[in-house]
Amino acid sequence: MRKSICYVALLAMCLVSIPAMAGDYVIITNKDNANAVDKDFVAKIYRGEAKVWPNGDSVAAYDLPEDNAARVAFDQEVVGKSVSQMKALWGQLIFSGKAVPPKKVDSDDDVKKAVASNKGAVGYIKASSTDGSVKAIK
Amino acid sequence: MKQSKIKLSAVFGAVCIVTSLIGATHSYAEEERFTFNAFGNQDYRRSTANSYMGADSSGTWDNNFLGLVMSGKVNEKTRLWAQLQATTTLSPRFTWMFVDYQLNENVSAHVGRIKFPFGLYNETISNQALRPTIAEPVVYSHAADMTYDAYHGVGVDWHLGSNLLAQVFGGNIFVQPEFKETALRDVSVIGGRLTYNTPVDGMRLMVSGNRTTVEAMNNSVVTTGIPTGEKASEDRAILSFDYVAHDWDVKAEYNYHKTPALLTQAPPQTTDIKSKAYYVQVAYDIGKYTPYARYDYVNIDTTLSSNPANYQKIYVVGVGYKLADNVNLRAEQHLNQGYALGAAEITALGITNPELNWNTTMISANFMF
Repeated sequence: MRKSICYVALLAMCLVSIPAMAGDYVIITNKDNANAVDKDFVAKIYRGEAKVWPNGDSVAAYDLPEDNAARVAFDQEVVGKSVSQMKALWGQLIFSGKAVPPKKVDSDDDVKKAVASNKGAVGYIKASSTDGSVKAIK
Repeated sequence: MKQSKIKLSAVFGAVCIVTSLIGATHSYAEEERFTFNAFGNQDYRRSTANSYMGADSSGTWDNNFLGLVMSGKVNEKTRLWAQLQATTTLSPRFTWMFVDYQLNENVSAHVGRIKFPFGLYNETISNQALRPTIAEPVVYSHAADMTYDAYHGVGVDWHLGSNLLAQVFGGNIFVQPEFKETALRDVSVIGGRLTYNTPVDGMRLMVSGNRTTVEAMNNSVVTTGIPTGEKASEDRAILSFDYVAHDWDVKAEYNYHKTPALLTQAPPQTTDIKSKAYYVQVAYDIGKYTPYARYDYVNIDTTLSSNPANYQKIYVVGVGYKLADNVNLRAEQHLNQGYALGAAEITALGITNPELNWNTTMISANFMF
């Protein structure tokens, strides 16, 4: 009996201690964006709750296609919602006049170009796509 | 009616042209300066008895809605918003239009004609694609008189941390010209809504309320029984539960409404009229299909709750089919007991023996893009 309890406890500990599978993505902003932002603030942007940076500049957010692995991981891990929940949320926001959704672009390169050319831009790309043209948020 | 249909076609044409242009103007080099989004639905409705939403035993296709939501960026912190709508029965018009100003990263203010922040659905009630069902819950039905569409005034949204949103507003009620009462003048409305995103994934709780004050105009003694110059206030409150996750969509709301005796129609009542409505709605996604069920209850005078002209229970079952990413087909059956929501139409049509038990069948196509 005691052995069984130990096994169950060990299994439970293993399950609890397995870290959430981190997605292969990195959040990027413009190199000249001096705002100190973290993932929580980025989540607010993608939930339509924050439309300006702390310094007052307006935010321009970019989204990858819905079937992109980085998009799926970003929505789930940073925003805390599935892709379908995000679609429903933005439907509510647009059609009640609350917020304009992130602009959809096709690829990591498109996100980087957009973020590099706009001081208020924010996006996410596959970690291996990062280069010196943009700033990565830890 | 013919003129309305011509106007409807014109608006639909404009919607198509504008939305087709949008696709050509997308560019990642700039942030969105203008946005255009459209939605609409075409329903067929038929009732076995009585009459509700214009649907009687011969059925009707006169239930459709076309909407175009537009926004334009004025500067870094300011954006204009408007919704142009057209239906079979109402001429094209702006349902709402306002200026939104972002004060800081947590607070925004809006001025203009604004949809009420009230319950889960009020701000988007005209967009059928944003709910799983064809007919809106009775809480939001115009016949139930428990909500208003919009107000003219000022509203503030304040994000208090990541899980709490407080909204307050004040101004005047906006009443569509066709429904404006000549004997009453809307003096003011104040209200608000608190939304709490719970730690449970996809679960929200809300509490909303508002108070409207009206004043009796000339000749009101004749038409409503209220002496000219008298003022009275109506109170509305709604508690909301929302859970959308793991293919489930579960909603429940309870609405309370108090009309003071002074505002009751001639002959005026001696006591306040209290009404209530609630519903529980469950939908579940199975691939392209979404079966759903809802129980609706409304009582427009709780002191006379056994009178079938004052209450209505509705058992709703239906199924949705996702034809394309943004196009849905739906079929829905309503089993009704009582006829509170159909009472006005029953009176207007001179139906002397309304049925206690009756059914309504609806089919619908809706889109959103």
